Amino acid sequence: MDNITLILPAKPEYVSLARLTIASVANNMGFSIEDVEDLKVAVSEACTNALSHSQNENGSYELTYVVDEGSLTFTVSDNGMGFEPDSVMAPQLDGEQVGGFGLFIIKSLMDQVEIVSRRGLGTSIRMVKNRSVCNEV
Amino acid sequence: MGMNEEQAVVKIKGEVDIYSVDQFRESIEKSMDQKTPKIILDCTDLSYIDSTGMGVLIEMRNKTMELGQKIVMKNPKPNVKKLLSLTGVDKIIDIIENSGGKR
Repeated sequence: MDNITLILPAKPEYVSLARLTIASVANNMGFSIEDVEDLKVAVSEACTNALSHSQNENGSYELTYVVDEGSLTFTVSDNGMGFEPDSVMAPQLDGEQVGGFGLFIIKSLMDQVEIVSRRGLGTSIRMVKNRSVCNEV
Repeated sequence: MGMNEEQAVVKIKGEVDIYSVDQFRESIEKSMDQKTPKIILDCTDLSYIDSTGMGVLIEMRNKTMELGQKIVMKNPKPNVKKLLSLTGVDKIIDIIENSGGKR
């Protein structure tokens, strides 16, 4: 089991760095192209959430990867303002709502999602994607 | 941005995320100023988009509808289509493939 930790500045331009690293890790692990795309979206959504919770632009947040044989676990943790995960409602998908899709997308694409958030202390989103057995060469 | 009498074409290139989303919105808004009935977002070279882009798409779809214009997405890649479907955006914005036929 390998562990990787990145500390990212809470600035929008570095979200692409999260995508690059997860794509590299997941490619090495043998995830399918579609799974790699899903992982890129999930990590971006979590980083975007971390940025929106951030209270000053000199802040930072942490992204960790745990590389296991059959799965990739990654966690995005910020020390921002926190929120009540249970209060987040499923988005309306009828064109009325223009935001609030992030967590919904993460939950749709990942196999396991765990959110721990404390008001004033920060939020941590832990996501797991299992590597499906495939016969790609 | 290309244009003929009926439609304006905006080429969307690269990645749309929290960093580039304002530019994405601006390029669509700019094409709306042409006042053509149809605005084609050419997604051939769009490699990545996430919820920030979906939000702008919904916003722009609503705005164009009020002005009697219509946004159409052309040739999105499978990963882009997946997000459009997940968020229901494909129900409110028409998607056409390269051939020009409706999906």
